[in-house]
Amino acid sequence: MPFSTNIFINCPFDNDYYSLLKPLHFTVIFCGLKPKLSETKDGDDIRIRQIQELIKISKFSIHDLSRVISKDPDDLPRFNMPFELGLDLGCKMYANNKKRCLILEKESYRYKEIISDISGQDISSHSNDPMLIVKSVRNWIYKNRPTKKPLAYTTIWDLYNEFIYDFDNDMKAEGLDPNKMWEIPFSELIDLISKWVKTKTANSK
Amino acid sequence: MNHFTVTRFNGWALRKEGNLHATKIVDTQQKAIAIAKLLLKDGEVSAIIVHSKNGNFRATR
Repeated sequence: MPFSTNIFINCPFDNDYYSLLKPLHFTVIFCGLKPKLSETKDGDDIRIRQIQELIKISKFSIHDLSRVISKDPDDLPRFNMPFELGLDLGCKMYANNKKRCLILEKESYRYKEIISDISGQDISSHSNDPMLIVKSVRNWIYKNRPTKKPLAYTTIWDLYNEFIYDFDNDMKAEGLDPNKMWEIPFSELIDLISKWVKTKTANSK
Repeated sequence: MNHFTVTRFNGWALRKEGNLHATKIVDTQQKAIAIAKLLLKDGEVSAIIVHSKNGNFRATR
């Protein structure tokens, strides 16, 4: 897989984030990038080594810090996402300055209270709105790949809605719940999005 | 051919399946559905697909 189109995705992989995870992945795939995410394939794998490798082979990365603070005050904060962001920024600073990263947050400037050292990076807030995540991601990709201008975010959003209609029907036809994460492996969802995008863009007017 | 009604920051968009661009943008979902129903009645589309604000599929009419 070429470095120039790989994108490392560092975000929560849980049901609470599923309504943002799907449009995020749809947008990066629609814009011609290949998501790289850490899925345990071998019980003996050391997760940090997988992540290190994914960061190394990806020019682009998206880090969503919107779920760092848990909803329940009794739960501990989630440190994996800022930790992986730190690894990625370290790789960019010490090894490969061609790398580009987008940091997503729920609210503008909240990061200043929790991780102010990231000031000056590309940071965008999505307010937990799936359409806003499509807009933020698409516009950031354009800024960093202007020669491969993607369609407007509104068009990508419309097509995402169409994909969801087909996805829901296909999942229900197989007795699966389309709104529940892990009904299928995440890599299968990426394959489904990639095939759908390829077919639709070939036939679109 | 299906007709999709989806949300936008500035209202609701109607778009025919297979088209990259919206046919029309109106300010409420009710207006979008009403226009799509006229297209359905005229036989221009075979179904109306309604989405919720978060992009989830809501209903077929």
